[in-house]
Amino acid sequence: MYTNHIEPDDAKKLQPRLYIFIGAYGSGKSEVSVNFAGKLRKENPQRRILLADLDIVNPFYRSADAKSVLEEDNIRLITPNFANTNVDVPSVPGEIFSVFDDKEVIGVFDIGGEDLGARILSSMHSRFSGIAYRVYMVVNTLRPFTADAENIAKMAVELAQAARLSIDGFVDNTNLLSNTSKDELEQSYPILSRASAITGIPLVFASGLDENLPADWDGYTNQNVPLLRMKRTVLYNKG
Amino acid sequence: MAIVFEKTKGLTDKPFHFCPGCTHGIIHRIIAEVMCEMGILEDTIGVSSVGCTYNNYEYFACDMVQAAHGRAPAVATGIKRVHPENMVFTYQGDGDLASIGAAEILHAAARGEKISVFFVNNAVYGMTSGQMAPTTLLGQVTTTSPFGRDSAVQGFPINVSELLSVLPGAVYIERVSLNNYKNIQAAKRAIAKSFRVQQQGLGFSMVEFLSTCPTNWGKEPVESLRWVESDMMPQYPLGVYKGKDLKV
Amino acid sequence: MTNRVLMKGNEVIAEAAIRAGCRYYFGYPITPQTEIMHYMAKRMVEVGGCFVQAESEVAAINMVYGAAAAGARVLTSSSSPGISLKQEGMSYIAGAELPAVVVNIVRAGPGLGGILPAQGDYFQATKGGGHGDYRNIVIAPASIQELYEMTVAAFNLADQYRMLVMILGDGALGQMMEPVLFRDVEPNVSTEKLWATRGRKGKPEHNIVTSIYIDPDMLEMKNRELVAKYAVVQKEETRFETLNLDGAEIVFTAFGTASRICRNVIRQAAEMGIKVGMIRPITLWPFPSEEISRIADLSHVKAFLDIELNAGQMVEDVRLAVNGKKPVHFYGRMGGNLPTQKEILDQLLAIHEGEVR
Repeated sequence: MYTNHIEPDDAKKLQPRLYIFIGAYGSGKSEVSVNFAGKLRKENPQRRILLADLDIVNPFYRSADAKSVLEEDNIRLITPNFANTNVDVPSVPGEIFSVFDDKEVIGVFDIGGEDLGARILSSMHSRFSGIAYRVYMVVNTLRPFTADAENIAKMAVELAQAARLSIDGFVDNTNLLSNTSKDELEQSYPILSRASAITGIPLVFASGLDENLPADWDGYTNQNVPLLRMKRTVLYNKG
Repeated sequence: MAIVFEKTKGLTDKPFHFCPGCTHGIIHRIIAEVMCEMGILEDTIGVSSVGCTYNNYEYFACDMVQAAHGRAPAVATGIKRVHPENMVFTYQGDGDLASIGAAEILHAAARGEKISVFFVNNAVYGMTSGQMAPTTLLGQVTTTSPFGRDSAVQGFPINVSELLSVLPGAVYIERVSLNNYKNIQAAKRAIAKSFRVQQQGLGFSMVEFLSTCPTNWGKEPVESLRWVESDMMPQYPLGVYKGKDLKV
Repeated sequence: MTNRVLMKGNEVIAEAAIRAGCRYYFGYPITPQTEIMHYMAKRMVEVGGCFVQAESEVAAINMVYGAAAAGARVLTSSSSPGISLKQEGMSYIAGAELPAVVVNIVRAGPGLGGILPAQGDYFQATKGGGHGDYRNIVIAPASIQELYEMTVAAFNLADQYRMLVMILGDGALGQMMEPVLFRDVEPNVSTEKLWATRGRKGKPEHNIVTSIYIDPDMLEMKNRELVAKYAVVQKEETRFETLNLDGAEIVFTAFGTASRICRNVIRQAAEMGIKVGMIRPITLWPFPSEEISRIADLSHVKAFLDIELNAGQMVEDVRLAVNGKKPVHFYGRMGGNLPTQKEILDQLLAIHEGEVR
């Protein structure tokens, strides 16, 4: 049992030790998770970083695909028992609980799409009382079902209910893959702002592929949103 | 001269092909009569299945769809979902409904599909010439249970009405027979009740008819009717299994 | 949604169906096509349509049969093992001449096989699959935009010819995301389905939907009608894309995901000074045999290289079309593995060495 029990409200005041990315199918959770883990690595060179791919929904395009990139960065990758194989049994490895038990670890959870994927968090509910964590919802406003503020708010409620965790922030990952320019992030900003106004959930950062973003967006977008410049790491066919 | 009997407009002029003493013909006639009496002939879509009545789309005067073996409840589901205002019924034998189509009937009932199922149980495969059916009685000789159905070898008969009646989606289930005038009238009332259940959108309903097969039973027509009463009814008691107090 | 949005292949199929006027979906879950069901379960409620999770693939295809007989535009989707289960119903749909659209997001087989992408269902899709003399139109898109346009086209073709149209994808295409532009589509609502069973409603004769013909001569007559109809489809509806055929020495034949990899290899080969072209069948049935035969007649074409995610299936149709005029080579990967560009390039170089130089 845990000896380091802290109340959830206190947990939010502490420096988080676990970041959880949830969102709609195809919102870019895996790409954001992998790159965010890379950022944590740079900021915490001496800590152990762990990325848990907990996508029990989708057998394709997942952070497990970024294995080699993560290994280079000395980030421990934990994947479902059958990830990237020909079996689709949604089996969760017990190893993920090490993040709750080992205070030296900083963890990133990449959660499967929609409420279906978010259920996995509900299945480890009691564990969250022992750790300072943040739950971020990744949003791509150019995806169906999260194209406007009302639908984003609706999905935020569905995800939070399925996860049994409240959402601490939105991540604006609006993109059209390689067809993206800065325009997409500029156009999504008012949508996310409205979603924040409706839900009370702040926009915590924006993300985009480095090559698609203006060079002078250094650390922030021109709307002054903190910016995660990402490398493309989650590819299906590396041939 | 006064007309004392007239063929119902619910049937076409195509002559039935059923064997002498087979009660399929009676079932067809009373279903057709009920459609006319309720004024629903123009709104009804029937589903033929596979068995001796594979071609009853030629007999019923309403719109008809012919379905693959056992799949009539699924086909009827597709039709009813497209035309919820229409009446949709299936006409299925015991092999079709209780053997190859066991999954389809169970799930149509479980979903509470608003269709009427007319299930004809004659304890034998008629069309393919007298093989054992899922409803064949213990001890009954068929071409594939030549020494009589032995529970140790061929298992037990399936009582479909009892089985489906435990599902909440099934709101009206009745087993009827055609072995005498009184029972034929009761069967006709059951058909009408099933259609009324559907009209009122209450859920799934089924009427199971104990029927004869003189040819494959090797019995004369009157003997066959007596056998329904003496041998089938003890295994398959008549009565309302679901929706006894349902007022429609 | 008139601007471009980022969609998965599976989602775009579902959205295209909705935009083509399909309001009925019946299906049973199976990886890797389940997002079609998830999407439909939500969207059908929004558009006032009907979504039913059937008890099996067998039931689902028969619900499709019923809804199609009732005159509706209707869709089901599955993946290889589930499509095997649907074959009975598909034969009945062909026999009763009902319009319906079936999606197969192919996974590796045989048997339970695996969930990763494959093209091992080519034979099943194009040569019948179910019993009896019949054809389905089989469309194999290679991009998300094409999935959208071809799914809409599938509903129109189904109604026009009263045929089953299959969209044949694979796990990679179903899961892949690309921007898509929802160009306005006009559902072919003018198709009056006078044969449909909607209740007699005062019609002088009742409508019957059936695939049974007891009289052998009547059945043969029906068979001949079908053959004649299929000949029209072959003449009018064969679709393909050709690429870089001008002066090409070697020509790829490939469809769907395999063609995407070949496209990249063509660029690589060009940088090495090797002229490689491609013919990509968009309809697998009807198959672009005439075009392949025409390409085989080109004097600069020395050989064909067929690339598939299987043990060599479409290559048989390519060989029939080429008819011995030029050598036809094959390279394929199985088990859910995709051939790499390098693997294909190596094959290409070997052929170039042996047959072009």
